[in-house]
Amino acid sequence: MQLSTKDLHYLKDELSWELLAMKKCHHYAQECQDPEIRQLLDRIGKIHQQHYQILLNQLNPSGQPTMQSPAGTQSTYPASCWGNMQS
Amino acid sequence: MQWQSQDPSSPYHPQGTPSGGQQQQTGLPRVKGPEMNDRDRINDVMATEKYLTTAYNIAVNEASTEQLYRTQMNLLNELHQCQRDLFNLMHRKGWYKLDQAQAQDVYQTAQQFSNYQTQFPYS
Repeated sequence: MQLSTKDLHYLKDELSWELLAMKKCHHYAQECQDPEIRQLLDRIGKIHQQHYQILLNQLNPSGQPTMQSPAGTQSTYPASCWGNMQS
Repeated sequence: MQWQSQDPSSPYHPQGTPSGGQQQQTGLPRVKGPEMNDRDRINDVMATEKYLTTAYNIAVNEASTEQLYRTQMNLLNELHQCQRDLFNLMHRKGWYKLDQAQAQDVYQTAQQFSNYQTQFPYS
């Protein structure tokens, strides 16, 4: 899909925020004494992780999920894909 | 966003309310040390969600395609829901005390803005 440079900047930002948010929720949930709060924070953390996945899929021109790519594959996106998008 | 300024979790805000008993059922230590407690944690997550919704809101406006717009709007919606869930839980724990507005003030405001209806451009 076509992305503007602005889209890309925002998506990068959003991915970073979501990553930090899921880490924070996960970390706090483990420290919480109150099970109710722990559950809520965990649930919200999972939502952030889902968001990350959704955002990542926006970057993938073929529309295929990009996570869980085998270790070792350096770049998820072959240069050719980006070439197409830029035209 | 008005309640943000009240910073309900601030340890520097002694809860001068007579209903001090409400604080005890929350399981917080009576004498607070420097370490973060549950209330600090949930409050920090709340602040994160607030930041996220504000930031997404700007991004959404500038999405170049309809598809990207909708995707981000969906995420924004979910973040709002998260925020509300956090708020509701904090409220239930008694960590988010909101003061009742004075009936007199409400009445006066209603009067004031009712009078402005004469300025409506549409009949």
